[in-house]
Amino acid sequence: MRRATGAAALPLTLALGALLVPRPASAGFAETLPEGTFLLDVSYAYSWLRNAWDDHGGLGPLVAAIDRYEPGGGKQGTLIPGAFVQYHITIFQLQYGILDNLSVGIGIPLVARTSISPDLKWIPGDYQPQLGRPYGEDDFWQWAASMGQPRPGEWVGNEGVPGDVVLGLRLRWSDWIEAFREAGVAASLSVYGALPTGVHADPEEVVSAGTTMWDLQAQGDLGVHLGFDKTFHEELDDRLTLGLDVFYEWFAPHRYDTPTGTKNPLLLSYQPYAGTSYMLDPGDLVGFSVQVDGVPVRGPSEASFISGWNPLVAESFPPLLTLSLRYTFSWIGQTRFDSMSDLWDFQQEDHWRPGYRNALSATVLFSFLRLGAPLQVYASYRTLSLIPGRNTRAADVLTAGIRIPAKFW
Amino acid sequence: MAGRIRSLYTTLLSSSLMPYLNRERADVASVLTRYASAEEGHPDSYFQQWRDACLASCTQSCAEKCGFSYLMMLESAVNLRSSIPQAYLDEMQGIADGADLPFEKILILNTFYDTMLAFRAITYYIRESQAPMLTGVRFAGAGTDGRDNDGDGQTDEDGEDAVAPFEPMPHATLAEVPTATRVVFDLHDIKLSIGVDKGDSPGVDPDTVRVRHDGIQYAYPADRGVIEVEPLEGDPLSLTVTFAPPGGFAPATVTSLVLQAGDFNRIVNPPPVHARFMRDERVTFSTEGYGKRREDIPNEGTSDGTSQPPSIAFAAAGAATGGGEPLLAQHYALLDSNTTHKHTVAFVHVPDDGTPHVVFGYAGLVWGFSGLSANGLALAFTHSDTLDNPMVGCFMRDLFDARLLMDGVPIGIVGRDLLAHQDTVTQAADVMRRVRFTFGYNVLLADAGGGLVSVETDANVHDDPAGGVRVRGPDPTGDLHGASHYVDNIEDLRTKLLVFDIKPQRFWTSFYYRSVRALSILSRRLADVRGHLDAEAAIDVLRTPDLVDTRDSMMATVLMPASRKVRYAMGQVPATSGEFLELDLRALVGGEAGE
Repeated sequence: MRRATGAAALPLTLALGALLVPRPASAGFAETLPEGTFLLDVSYAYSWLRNAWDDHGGLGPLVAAIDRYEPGGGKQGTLIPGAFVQYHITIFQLQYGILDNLSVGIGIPLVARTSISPDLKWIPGDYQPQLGRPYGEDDFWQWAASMGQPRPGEWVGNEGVPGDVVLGLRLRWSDWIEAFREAGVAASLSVYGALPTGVHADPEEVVSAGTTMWDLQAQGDLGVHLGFDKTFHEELDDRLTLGLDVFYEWFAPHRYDTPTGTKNPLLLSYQPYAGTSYMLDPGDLVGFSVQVDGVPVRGPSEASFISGWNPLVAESFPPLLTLSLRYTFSWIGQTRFDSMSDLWDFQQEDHWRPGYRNALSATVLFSFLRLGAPLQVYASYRTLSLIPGRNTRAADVLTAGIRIPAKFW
Repeated sequence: MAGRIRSLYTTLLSSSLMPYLNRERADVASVLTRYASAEEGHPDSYFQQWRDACLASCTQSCAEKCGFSYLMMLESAVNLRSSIPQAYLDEMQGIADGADLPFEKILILNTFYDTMLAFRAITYYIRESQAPMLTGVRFAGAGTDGRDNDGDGQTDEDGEDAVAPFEPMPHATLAEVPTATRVVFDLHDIKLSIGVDKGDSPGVDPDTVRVRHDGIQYAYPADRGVIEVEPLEGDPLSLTVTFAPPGGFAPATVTSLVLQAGDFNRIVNPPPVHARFMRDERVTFSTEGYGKRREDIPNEGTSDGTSQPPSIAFAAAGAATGGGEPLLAQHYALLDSNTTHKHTVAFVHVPDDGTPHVVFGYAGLVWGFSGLSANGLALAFTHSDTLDNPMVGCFMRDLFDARLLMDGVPIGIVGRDLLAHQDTVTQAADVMRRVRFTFGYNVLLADAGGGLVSVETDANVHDDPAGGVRVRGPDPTGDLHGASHYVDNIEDLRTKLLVFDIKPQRFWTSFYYRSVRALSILSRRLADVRGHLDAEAAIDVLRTPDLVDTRDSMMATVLMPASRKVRYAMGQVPATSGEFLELDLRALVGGEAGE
């Protein structure tokens, strides 16, 4: 839809949040798996997006209004896109504890379906003498069709399409510093990188979406996180954990095909002047998260095969119920375009200006390890639409997943 | 710059103008059969054969390059090329090389303006010819009111209450009419027996009749009582519309009525399906007690938001100015389509043979819509819709087998050449008298010595012995101003050709009433600043809201030939909403201060 203004080339993207990063089983920023332990995490995420934060922090439509003009006939009217975007993604993650303080993981997102409803509204423009009235909405699309431009309908795609595979590593380096342990603080360094297994959006579609990190607006292609968890063992019996994570995430420049206008000759004929392809260097992310994990219910524990029939080990397993609240602030840099047309580049960049987003998420985690079942179930809700941002998408995400830990040796 | 040249070509021509003009082919082909298509039963037509051959060899951008509008623009561009001096063709070649575009596209980019205007005039005329026509206006009671309503020195003579046949006027139709008058419009609709309307039922559709008065639009049949329609017995092609506002017309005021009507046609191409509507016709009159002759009452109308003012220009020298420095100002408006303003450029040319000069144009053009030379000649032009253009000339010569072909020297090239080789308005006007123009233009010239000249052009396709150029000096007030209609060349072309009753521009062009209104407002604004007109005052005049096209404004300049300075605003819509930057031509290319 953004292309319809003649000002943006990229498809609609989502701010799903950092859902796809291989995460430790627990909610903290410095948690790692015990040595020799696998954790399989399978989740389903549903994201929906209707609005974006504008340059003034106001919540507006996802796509800017499109003024349409007729050669010499003035303004035909204004298209008001009320685009509604939905992503359905299944995420497979497998993590492994190499050491007690060093875990690695792989995350494989598989997009089940993406749909975009343009939901275009119309505000009539100038009086058209040849019609004896201004263009109505149907009038306009009939006119556009006569110029070879079809009316954009709902786009559905990415069915069973992989996203970028993520490889990650976390080292809890505070284990080597006694002072951290005495203070009840754990600190870790996490790094991850994405493999380019996702697909770009179809450049010829007015509305479409890809599955790369950039398309999902979830996280960078390379990221470094420095995380800290503070537990209160003595004071609160480990029922509260405070966490802090600071991060820098870098997007790799990518080359994209420029639309030729074969499907949308009026709206997407960029190739004749922008060239056959262009480089896109997304703005990087820098920010921080703070998190509170609370344990309202620790639950009973029973010795089982998981604990080696040892009741003390069973008692050390995660609590039955953990509630987490997280706030994340991300500053996003200016995205750069580089084509054969500086004018076109400028127009695209104007729609990808620097900004920031404020994300809130809440997670409920049930762990049945204490009861002898190797299973954790969780659900989370993440919103970017509650606290105003700037030049970012206001997406919401619901996630539900299961985690199965396993130890084979 | 290369990217901007390609961008302008693509966004303005490939994606906007050419597809738009392609849709006119069916209308054109119904008269000029060489442009008919296989779908219309003409597989062997010139257009179809050209298209088939084009598609057979085309590898990219085929929808554009094998379309009707590309054919028309290319053929005209090639024909115009022979009238363009080699130096400018060389510049175009350089642009093509630098922009990595074929020369033919740069040639089209540099000539499409003239071609488009001529083609547009034809299509508008054909459209208007098949729409209802206002054939007469009567003011009930004006023939027996004891007043001289038409300013002819006689009172209540036969026919004083009517203008029939109807004549669009730059001033009021009648003066001092009774407040209780009913205004009666006679409408007539015909079928031309050719054109896309054949087969449809002729006649004016009463349900499309609307009259706008005092900011209110009355429609029939919703406002029956205010508007009454009456078919003429035995004449299914005609309809009489009577308008009488509630409470009558206010005394001692100037009133404008705008009439709209469509016919029974249902035009399907271009969509949406619509009746064929006539041009909005504006009739202005004064009511008893106003006290002015009709010739002294401009047909200005009111701002109703349904139309935009066209291009305007004015020049002043001597006592009309504040410090005595001559100036020439222009606001050009025609076609923005949300893209043109992104490609504006001020070009400073230093020719090998000629005077350095600056022109204000667009990326990829070798010419501009206004300019100033280092020797102090300033020039700006506006278009003036006319059927006295080479395409109509082709039709007059070859009739149904005519090609839509342009001929003559493109106005922008004329401007470049004048700036490069002439120093005074007198010299420039002498040269222009010898030029074969492509279309109707109103050119204003000013020089450093205070010379001012207005030149109105047409293509002189009917070989008028007076030529295609009308030259006029300043009026006694010391200024010249114009808009987008003729003031001198008011009988630009009037002839009968087959079923076509070809009339001067005021009868059919959509610019006419807008331009008359703009010129009236401009006259008033200039009168306000007469005697202290300088660059700032000129900018104020250009920014007059009723003179600013907020949709298709393209650029605005104030040229000061004595000081060799220019104030210009462009790059936004409307152009006048931006800052007027200063360009000092002497500082760029040298040259002496003005005389």
